[in-house]
Amino acid sequence: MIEFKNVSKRYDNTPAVNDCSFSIPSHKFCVLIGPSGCGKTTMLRTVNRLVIPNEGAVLIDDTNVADIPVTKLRKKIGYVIQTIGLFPHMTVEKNISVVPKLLKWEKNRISKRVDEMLDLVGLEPKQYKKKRTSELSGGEAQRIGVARALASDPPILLMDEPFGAVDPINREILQQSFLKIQRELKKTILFVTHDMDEALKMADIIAIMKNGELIQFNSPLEILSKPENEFVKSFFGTDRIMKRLSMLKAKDYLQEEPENSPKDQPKITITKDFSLKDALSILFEKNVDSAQFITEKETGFLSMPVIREASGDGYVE
Amino acid sequence: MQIFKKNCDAVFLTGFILGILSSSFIPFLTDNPNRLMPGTKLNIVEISPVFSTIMILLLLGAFIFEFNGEKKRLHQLFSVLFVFIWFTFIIFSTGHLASTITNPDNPMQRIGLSLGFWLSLFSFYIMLFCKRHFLNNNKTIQITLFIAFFAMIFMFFNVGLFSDLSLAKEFSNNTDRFVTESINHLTIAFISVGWGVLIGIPLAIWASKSNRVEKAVLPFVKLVQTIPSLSMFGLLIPPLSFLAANVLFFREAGLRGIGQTPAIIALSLYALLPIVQNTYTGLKQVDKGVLDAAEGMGMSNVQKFFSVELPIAFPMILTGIRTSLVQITGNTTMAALIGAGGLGVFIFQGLGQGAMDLVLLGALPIIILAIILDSIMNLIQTITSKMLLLDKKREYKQS
Repeated sequence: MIEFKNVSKRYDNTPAVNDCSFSIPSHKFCVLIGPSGCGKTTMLRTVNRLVIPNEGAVLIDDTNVADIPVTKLRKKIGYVIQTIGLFPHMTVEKNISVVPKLLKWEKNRISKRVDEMLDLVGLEPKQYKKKRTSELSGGEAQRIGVARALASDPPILLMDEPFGAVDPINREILQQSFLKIQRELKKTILFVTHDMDEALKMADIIAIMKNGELIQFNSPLEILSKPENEFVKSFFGTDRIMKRLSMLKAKDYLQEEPENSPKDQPKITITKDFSLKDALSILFEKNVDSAQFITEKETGFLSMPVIREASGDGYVE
Repeated sequence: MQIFKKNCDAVFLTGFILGILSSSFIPFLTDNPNRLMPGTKLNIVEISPVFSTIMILLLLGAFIFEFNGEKKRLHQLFSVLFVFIWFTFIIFSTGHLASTITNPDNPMQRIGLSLGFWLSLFSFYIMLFCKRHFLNNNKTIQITLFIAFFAMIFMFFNVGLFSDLSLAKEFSNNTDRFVTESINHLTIAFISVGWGVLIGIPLAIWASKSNRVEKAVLPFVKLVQTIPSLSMFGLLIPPLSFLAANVLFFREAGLRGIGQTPAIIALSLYALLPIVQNTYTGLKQVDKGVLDAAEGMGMSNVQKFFSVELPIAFPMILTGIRTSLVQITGNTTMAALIGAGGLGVFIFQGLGQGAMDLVLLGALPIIILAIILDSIMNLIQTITSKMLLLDKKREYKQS
């Protein structure tokens, strides 16, 4: 668990972070989001003490990070940054084995670990081990960056806009494969981004910051349905409701056939990933108020009022 | 003219024309009645029309293979071959023709090199430069040619072919001094660059870590570079004489206002700039993200410096040492003026006596030394950057 307790940081009397408190439960994926200059990177860097807060404390499993020797602390925290920062004078293999080497692992164990890590990020070990970093594409380099951060199996991972410099198509692929890795490894992750779609896709919890202050801290669905203020609302855009619907699964909202419904309702076969947004789109397309949806296992009805209710958890503007 | 439009390599053509001119009508040797008096200038046609014809034919051979419109490997090889044979022949002729115009009755006679000889050197360089891609891509041919060429030159020396040239006479008159002063020259240069490395690198590292040191060090080493070397030697004389006269320790250490010590002190100061500047820039250029990652991964400052910053900056540091070495090899010439010795001795003696060949006896070895040292450093750089995976491309082979 990572706990921020009244963290404040000033640079030459300009506050970068102002009295922020929240805590990230273990094994959760927390995305820290906000416009540039809102202090999100500063927050992230207080965890591995690259930034020392002026006031407040950061606790990892109830231990103040200030009480842990700094190099020992950092070796237990994976760190991935936007510019990746692979060491240009080392091969891929050497790059991944930096932290294990610092931890004085045995040679065989390191070499085995390098292979595991390359497999994990979806790169063929034989083919990539001996490559120079300058021979890698942007996406490959960032995969190596992730592999390097995970090499010593740290319980915590800090990621500062890791996919920010990758083109949209590769970013999508990286996000998917990283989510897969996370489902497997269950690290406690603090992930900084300014890309809202990325936040919604990846996060278990989102922390929204503005001007150094924490505005809202909640799950993506909650934030979409109950934005704290105008800033959050505008940050998520006018299609905020649609975004929420796209995150809800249609099969979870199927109803019994309503009374006195029209006889000739359309019947639509759907997959288990079919979202409420897709369902809404079908209703519009067929120009009906409700329809019958059939999945592999169950069958049921969705109507406009049901979707409307799901869209906002009762929140009406 | 169609050929020229298609395949005209103006640079090669320039080299070719210079070669033709130096092989024919441009004065190639000077025949001086004695060491100091200027004499008559002679071109190759005047001395031996046959030699001139052979040279021009060899050059035409190179020309035909170069400009026949085809870029086949064999044609390129012949073109290069003709250029090499022509130049070997030029070297041979220099010695041989000097012997033919030597008058055995006048022991004071001196045969000097004239414009044509230097121009032929230049022409050879230009034509080789045009063929550098071919030579670099055919290492076997390149190495064979150069070994054969130097073997021939060595053989010419051994059979005393050049003994009638005044340069050789100056050399044989000064053989012992030449060897001593060459060693002197190298010693002064190496010790100075050595001090430059020992002082410069730590200074640059310190400057890269501290803004205040940076503000003091960088302007200082730049300022030193602007002081003319002659006045630097002069400026060092009073304080060093004072120290030697008044402090027992320095006197016993052999310090004096003139001699090798002040020369080495001054040259070490000159050696600083390229080393400090390159080391500083090399360290400062290390990517911020790389440093951030190194720190974030839990490296201590010492670990970060030795396993990340230094290796990444290393090729740049080597470049600084290389520049410094070549520069100081040249600058050491001036050390002769304050009695430190070195090849500059011949240059200043020759200038004083108006004996140009004695000047050459000092200047040519300095140039050759500088080129050799530069090549050695280049080799070291290639090897280290390969080891560090930096700069020079290494092909990745799929296993």
